[in-house]
Amino acid sequence: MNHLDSLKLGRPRALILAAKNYAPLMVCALLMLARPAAATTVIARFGPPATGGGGTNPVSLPPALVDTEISVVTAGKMEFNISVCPGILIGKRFDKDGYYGSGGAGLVITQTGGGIGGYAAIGYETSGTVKFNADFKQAIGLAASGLLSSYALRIGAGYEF
Amino acid sequence: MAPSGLLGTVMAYGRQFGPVTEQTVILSGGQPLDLFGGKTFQGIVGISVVSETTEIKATTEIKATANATSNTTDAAQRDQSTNIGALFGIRGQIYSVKGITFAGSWESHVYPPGFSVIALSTGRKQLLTLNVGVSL
Repeated sequence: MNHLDSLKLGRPRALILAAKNYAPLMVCALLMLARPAAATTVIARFGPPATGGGGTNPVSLPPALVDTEISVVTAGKMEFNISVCPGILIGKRFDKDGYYGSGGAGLVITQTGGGIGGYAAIGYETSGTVKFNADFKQAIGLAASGLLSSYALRIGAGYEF
Repeated sequence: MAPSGLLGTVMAYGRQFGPVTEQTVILSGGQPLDLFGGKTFQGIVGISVVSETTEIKATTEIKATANATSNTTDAAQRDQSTNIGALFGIRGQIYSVKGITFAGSWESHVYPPGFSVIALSTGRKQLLTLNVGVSL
């Protein structure tokens, strides 16, 4: 049965037949055009953290390790933040119109040591495969020496895989 | 909080130790943002202005020491500084009943330390607050 024959059939049967014949092509086209709605994004941010040592910290050029933060945001909006300061923090991100808020817990690190604590962040991130990111993150932790507090205002770029 | 949703805050605090008195006034205005997937928690972004005053009530001994070391007849007794910066933070509604709202906030008022340093270097006033509000 060719396609001309299918035209002689009733419309439902013709549609089914066409779908069977063209299904592989349609699937291929969808796979080529479709893009995951959300994917894992890796972000590198740079900027000086305030380590709780008093005063301000100058920017290092090029950025030193303490000025650098790597974040991984999964498709499920879990956020993994790795930096010397404010620390190693895992949380949940909530997006809205490019802006986001996030919060979670982890190891808060300051000049006087490290401790377990929580963090909150707000930021802005553009869409696309390559993203601009600006992020303000503040953290409070508890250690044997008392309360720890630190923050970082950083900007950077992300790449969505 | 204005009907437009803008949030304005004035905070004043200080301390006194010996002859030294410090006073800080922070005036801030911000836009609450529903960033956390609901109304319970909100992010805040805005502008903050800080005014800090340090005053030393010079005693006879301090005056005598200052005069002896600086060759001036009047010691510097008052220092006032003002700065403008940004407000970042989160606020959460703890409980609400009949127009009365109990809330808490965790705010960072971030200021540039001066124009002689590279941008992104900042100083901060961190405020953790519990507050009660009434809808008018």
